[in-house]
Amino acid sequence: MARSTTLFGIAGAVAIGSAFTILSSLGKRSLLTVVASGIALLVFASTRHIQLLSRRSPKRNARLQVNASSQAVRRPPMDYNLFVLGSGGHTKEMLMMMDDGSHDFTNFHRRYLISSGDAMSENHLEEYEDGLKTLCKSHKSSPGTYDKRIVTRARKVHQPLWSTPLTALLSILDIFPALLVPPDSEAGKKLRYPSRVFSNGPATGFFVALAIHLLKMFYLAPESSMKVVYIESWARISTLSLTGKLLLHTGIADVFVVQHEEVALRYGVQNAGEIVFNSRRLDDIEPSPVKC
Amino acid sequence: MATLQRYCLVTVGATVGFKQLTEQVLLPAFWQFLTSEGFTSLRIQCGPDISWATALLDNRNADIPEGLTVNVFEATKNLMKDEMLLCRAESGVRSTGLVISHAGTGTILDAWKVGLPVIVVPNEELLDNHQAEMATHLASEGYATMSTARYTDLQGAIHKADLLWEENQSRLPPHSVKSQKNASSLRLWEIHPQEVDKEEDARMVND
Repeated sequence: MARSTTLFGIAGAVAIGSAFTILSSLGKRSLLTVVASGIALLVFASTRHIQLLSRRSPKRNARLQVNASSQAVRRPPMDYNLFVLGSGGHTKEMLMMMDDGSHDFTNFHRRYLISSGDAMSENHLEEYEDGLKTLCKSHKSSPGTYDKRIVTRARKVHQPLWSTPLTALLSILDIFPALLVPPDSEAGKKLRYPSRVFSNGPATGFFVALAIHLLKMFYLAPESSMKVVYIESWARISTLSLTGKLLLHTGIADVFVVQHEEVALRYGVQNAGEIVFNSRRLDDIEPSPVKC
Repeated sequence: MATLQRYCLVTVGATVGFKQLTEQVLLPAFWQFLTSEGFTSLRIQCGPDISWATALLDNRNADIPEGLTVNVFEATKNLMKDEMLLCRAESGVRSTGLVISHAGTGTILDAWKVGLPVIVVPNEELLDNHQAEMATHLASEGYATMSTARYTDLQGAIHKADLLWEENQSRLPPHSVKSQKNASSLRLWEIHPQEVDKEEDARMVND
């Protein structure tokens, strides 16, 4: 926490410094006003930052919403969740975690964030939604609704680190409307903001979490909405990904879990088990003819 | 009755290629072994090494044992749909095949989903990557068999994979696998943040 507050301090100082040079011609009084409001903003921002962080559970563990008596999942009568999809691998894992045989999605809206130029994720996602539709039909339940939002990719694989801030800025400009414009469905209109935002490792996931943090910092979105649920990629057995490290050190995720014991112990975070293997298999979907 | 088809799929990933592995599975000695194990088709996805592999295969066309077809291809849009389904058993047509794969997570997850025996071959030339770690993990959990790229090791691994496959079939009937293996893992839809107040209450109760 101290580290990120320092970061804010530095950013603020830089902003004030540049304001100095630009406005030095405007005379002493206006200069003082600018400095004063700059400091006020800085104090406000860091206070809100610390306030938001302190209201989260310190270990970022998951709470399971399970009905103790019936073991059935309790879910709100209406829900809207957002899923940050990354490149092929991340998307595949996310969809496998979602495809666990759950089939009650009445009044449930899913919004997907897809990086520009990622046709593969889009294909996988349509396949998942088709499968869900079939599953729900066989259970005579509703698959709910979904929509897609395309955002500029925060960081391409192997893109040099120095140019990342530029593409990240473009990406964050697309992220805000994706978070703020409610989907055109019943659940979306009623709820306005997603209740949970899921991510599992792509760089975009960090920028989505950052955008949400900023919105809450300046009271532009309610603190009770858009809870960031970060599930580290199943591929990370002993170390966290860059996105994982950033989220862990800044503390801006509401839930932070990993899928292997080794990485959980190394960073002192919760091991949620291999969630990807909750997925339905082909035999569950279309039973194969007798095995030979 | 005609003999059953049996497919062996070798896949190295779309971007880097894995020449050591491609080279070994293109050896006539390996083909002989596959034939003796009842395989009828060997399909090799070799990525950027495609032209080299095609030339090599053309040279050795005469050495392909009877009853086996060998194909090389660069990549496919959907490896699971296009290729892995051929490795799936179908009554009276095909027996369960085999996937020999680099330790890429996408391929491994797909093979798990289709329900196929897998041999993982970590690419040791790729430094700073987690392939060996992943392969070890999969082997220790009983999801896959690990091997080096050498064809003699691959042959041993194919025997082992068959045994592991049979063992898994009898030990873990298809539908209880999920509940047994993953009794401890959380379900995505049930993950919610903890609220600080509630946690404090719980702590007080514990005190």
